[in-house]
Amino acid sequence: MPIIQTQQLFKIYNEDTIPVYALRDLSLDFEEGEFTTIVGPSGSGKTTLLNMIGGLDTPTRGDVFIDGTNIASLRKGDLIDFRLRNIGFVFQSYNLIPVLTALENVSLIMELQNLDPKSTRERALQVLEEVGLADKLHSKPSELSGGQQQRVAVARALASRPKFVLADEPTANLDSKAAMNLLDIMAKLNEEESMTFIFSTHDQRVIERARRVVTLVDGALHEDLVKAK
Amino acid sequence: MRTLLLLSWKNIWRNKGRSMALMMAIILGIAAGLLMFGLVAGLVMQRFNGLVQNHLSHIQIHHKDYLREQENKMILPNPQRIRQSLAGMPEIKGYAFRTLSFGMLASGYNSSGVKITGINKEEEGGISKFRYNIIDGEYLDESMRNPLLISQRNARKLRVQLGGRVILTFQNLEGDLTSAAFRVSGIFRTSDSNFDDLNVYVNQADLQELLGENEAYHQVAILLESHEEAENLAALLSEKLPEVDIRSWSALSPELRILVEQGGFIMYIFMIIILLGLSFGILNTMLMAVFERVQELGMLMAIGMTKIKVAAMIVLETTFIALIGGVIGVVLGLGIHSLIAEEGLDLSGFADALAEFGYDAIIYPLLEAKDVGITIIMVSITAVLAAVIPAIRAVQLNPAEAVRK
Repeated sequence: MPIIQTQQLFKIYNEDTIPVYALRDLSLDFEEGEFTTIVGPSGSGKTTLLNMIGGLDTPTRGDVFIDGTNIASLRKGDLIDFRLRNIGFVFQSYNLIPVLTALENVSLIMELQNLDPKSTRERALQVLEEVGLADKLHSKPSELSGGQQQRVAVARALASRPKFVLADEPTANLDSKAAMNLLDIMAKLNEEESMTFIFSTHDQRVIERARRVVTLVDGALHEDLVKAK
Repeated sequence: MRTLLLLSWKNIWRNKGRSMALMMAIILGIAAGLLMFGLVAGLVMQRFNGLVQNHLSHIQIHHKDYLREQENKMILPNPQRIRQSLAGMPEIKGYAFRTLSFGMLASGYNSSGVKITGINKEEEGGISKFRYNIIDGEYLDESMRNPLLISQRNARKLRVQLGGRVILTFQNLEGDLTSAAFRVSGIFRTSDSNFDDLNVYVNQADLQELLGENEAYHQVAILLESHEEAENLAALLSEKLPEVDIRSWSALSPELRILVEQGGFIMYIFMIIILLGLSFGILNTMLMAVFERVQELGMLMAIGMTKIKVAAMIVLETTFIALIGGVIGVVLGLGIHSLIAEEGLDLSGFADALAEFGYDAIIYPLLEAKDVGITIIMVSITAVLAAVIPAIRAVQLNPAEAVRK
């Protein structure tokens, strides 16, 4: 059973006046352990699709099933809790909290889950080590490079052991070396821990590393390419 | 909760300058508020004590019609019965029988209409601190024939000095005009220039002799252990002595009652004005803090922080700032208060204007623990209320849009 299913997904703005289709009739399945990129020109609906899968936006029509749960039918409060426990997010601008250290930024999500302090610390240390930042635990974001900040963001996304990680253009603000380093880490996590990653990107380096490339054009599915291993 | 506390605490130090400016506003607001509380309360109590201890006392007894007619012949009936009724009442600190008359005070140079109060120095000493207002001479020197206490203002107006002779003219109990020469035994000055203009003091026996009745008393002034007992005791005495008019200080001086009752109210009005200014400062600062952190707040909501927690974080930040500002403000306010409490705030430059309204030129602030408590509570409530709008703005953010801003 797919971990994520979108069924006849539509997102239409100004439906009553001049309708703008951000997504149209999009039905996609994502299996556990996928390393998938959503690509397409600007305005093709990549971010909108990620927002729908991430429960940050609601579809005009259609359903999004995460592990069998239709998140479009969840109440707002339940949806927030669902996101907290099931979905990891990595944003283009890292979106770390500047006043917290790397360790605190990563611990934050587990503290929101009311995990006990000992387990929180252990898991935070573990994921920070996995992303190669064991020596930067007490550094604040301003003391880290862009690549390091994004690795903290990845660690934060992984810390709560989500079912999958959504990454919205994670390498857009990174130089080539940092981007490749980040991709290596995510690919390793994908292979070793079967963590599902879904990216939206324009970045050719990410597209080359992905095992599945979903191409959107004008909100509709243009191509769904699964590369041979 | 620990996360929220930590995050809120760290957030307030994100923009140190802005947080410090807001704290400074709270510190100054509270310190000024406490100082004002103290000064107004001190001013009111000084006015109250001045009136009560100089001449009003807590309860006065008169002939039934005296306060309305103010005629010399309306002397107290059966003063002995009144003395017996007052004796042995534990609430009463002291009492003094006074003989009163209205007349004309004249020197060779000028004249002035005055109220003449004949006092028994010993009785008066038990209820009044009037003697401390004497700035020159003696408190009715008994070695002198017909000694008189005159105010500094009247002494200047009449151009008389210590030992100088003045003539008092008034009606005796028969209604005939009588005049007598008095010598200035002492010169007094109170904080109330109107009082000073209208009052002279003489020995009771001298006045009674001139009125033609040795047992002529117009007023009994009663000082109580506590002014709060005045109403009850006046009612009790009225039952015991129905033949005379007995009134408490609040009935005798309604303006004083209003001052005591409304003094606190006025302070709260001032405090609310200060807090209103403060609340706009907090509102502005916290709104800026929210607008600057749109992306971050969007991220927090996206990863699963509930709206209640986001709102609580903003309110907590404000509360921390208010708490720090509040504690320092209280310490500063109490510090300034204790600095001026002993010596008083010297407003001698405005002494004449203050005296016109009956206030002292030196104000001794009076701060009670409840005023400090109320100030802290009011500031805390203001801080939390002022944080509500920024908190609402924060939770209204759409996380999907906010993270990309």
